[in-house]
Amino acid sequence: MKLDNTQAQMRKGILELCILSTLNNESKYSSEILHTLKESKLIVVEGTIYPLLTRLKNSKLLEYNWEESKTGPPRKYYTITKEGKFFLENLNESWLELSNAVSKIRNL
Amino acid sequence: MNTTKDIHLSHIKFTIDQEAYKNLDSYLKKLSLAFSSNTSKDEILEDIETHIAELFSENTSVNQVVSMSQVNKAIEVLGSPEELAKDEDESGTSSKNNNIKKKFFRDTEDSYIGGVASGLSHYFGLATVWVRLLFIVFSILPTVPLVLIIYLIIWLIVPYAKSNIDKIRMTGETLNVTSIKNKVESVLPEIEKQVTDFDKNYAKGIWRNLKYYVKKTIKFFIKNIGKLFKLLSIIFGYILMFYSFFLGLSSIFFVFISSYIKNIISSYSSSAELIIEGSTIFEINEYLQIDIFDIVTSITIFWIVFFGFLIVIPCIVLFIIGMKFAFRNRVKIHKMTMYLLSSIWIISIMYLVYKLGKEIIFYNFGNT
Repeated sequence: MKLDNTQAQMRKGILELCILSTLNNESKYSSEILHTLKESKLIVVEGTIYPLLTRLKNSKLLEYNWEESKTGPPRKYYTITKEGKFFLENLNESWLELSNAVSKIRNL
Repeated sequence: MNTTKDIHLSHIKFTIDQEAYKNLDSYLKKLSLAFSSNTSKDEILEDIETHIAELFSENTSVNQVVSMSQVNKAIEVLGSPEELAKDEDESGTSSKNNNIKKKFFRDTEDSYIGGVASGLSHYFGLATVWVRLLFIVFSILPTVPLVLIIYLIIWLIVPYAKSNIDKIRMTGETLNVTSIKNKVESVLPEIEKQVTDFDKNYAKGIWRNLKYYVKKTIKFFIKNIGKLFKLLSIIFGYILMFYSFFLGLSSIFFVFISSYIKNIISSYSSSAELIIEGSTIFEINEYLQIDIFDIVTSITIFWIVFFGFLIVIPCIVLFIIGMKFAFRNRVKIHKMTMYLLSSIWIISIMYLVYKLGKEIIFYNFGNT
């Protein structure tokens, strides 16, 4: 059993929750999302985010529109959808339940 | 001094060092492999390219060349293909099967008609020639309709190897004698499953399925109409070859038999003393003596030979035409052969007409 592997698995489970949370109040493009996630060390290599964003977009939890950038290529600004908000609420609830359960068990 | 290359990532032009370009190119190719099982592969790769473009434009001013270290840094930030592929596998979005299973595809790159023979040979690990030969042998035998139906069904149902992965799966690991048994055993439950699945689907919506298959079939025929004509002409050629050969052979046989009979009868009629054991034929001949005698005297060896030519030559010509249909331009027949055959045929027909005419005139004058 590898420690990295378990940690990666744990991170991955909550990554969707975190991406949706960062987009809850404002639309962002990938680098901004990455910035937040990297700050909290949730993501190590940046390439990981793209399959995730695409999957969330394909599940209609996110949508994007293109915006021009002065310094580089046009950016995809992601916005959370209604379904995404609903999904996030459910995820938040489960997260609370889970973290309560985990802390309870750990404090036994 | 180093050479450079102009590329564009997300519609932004970059000038990049040649070596750095190679590195970047191989990175993107590996990524494409890493995400090969993801249905949104193209979109993900596009996003990653955009990200690379962003990184490059952050660190390069106008007219500056993108260097190897920048490419390496970008790769480090985005993650190596191995790291990303690992995430892909764990994310469980795709049920990726690591051991490539061999699958039956038609090989349109190596095909005369629909690539069925080459597909079969890939699947069973045989040389394509043998499978083709088998098809040809079975199409010469009177099993033509069966082979035709089997071929058409395979052509219709089995997809052709479109992508590279299909092609890999098509050739796969080749079977040897010992693994064939295992293969058959492993395939059997699969077939059973498919059959039951089919039954289930069938129960679900016969009409929907029927409609789907009819649509698919029509589309298929429209798409492959050229090939279909080719196939039909090849089959027509084989049938023609088969029947003309058969007809020719039987008419030669007939010629021999009739000349044999003539010999018997003429010897009987000349000596008038032929005794055949059991004497049944003798008795029959006695009844029919006059009739047969009349006919037989009018048949000469030339008659028989020319009559034979009259049928055999068209058979040969039909056989050649059949070969032309079946093997297309691979069969070359010299023009002289055709001229020779047709002139012999015309001579025989003229001889026949002459003989017949003479007979009729003689008969009429004889009567009056």
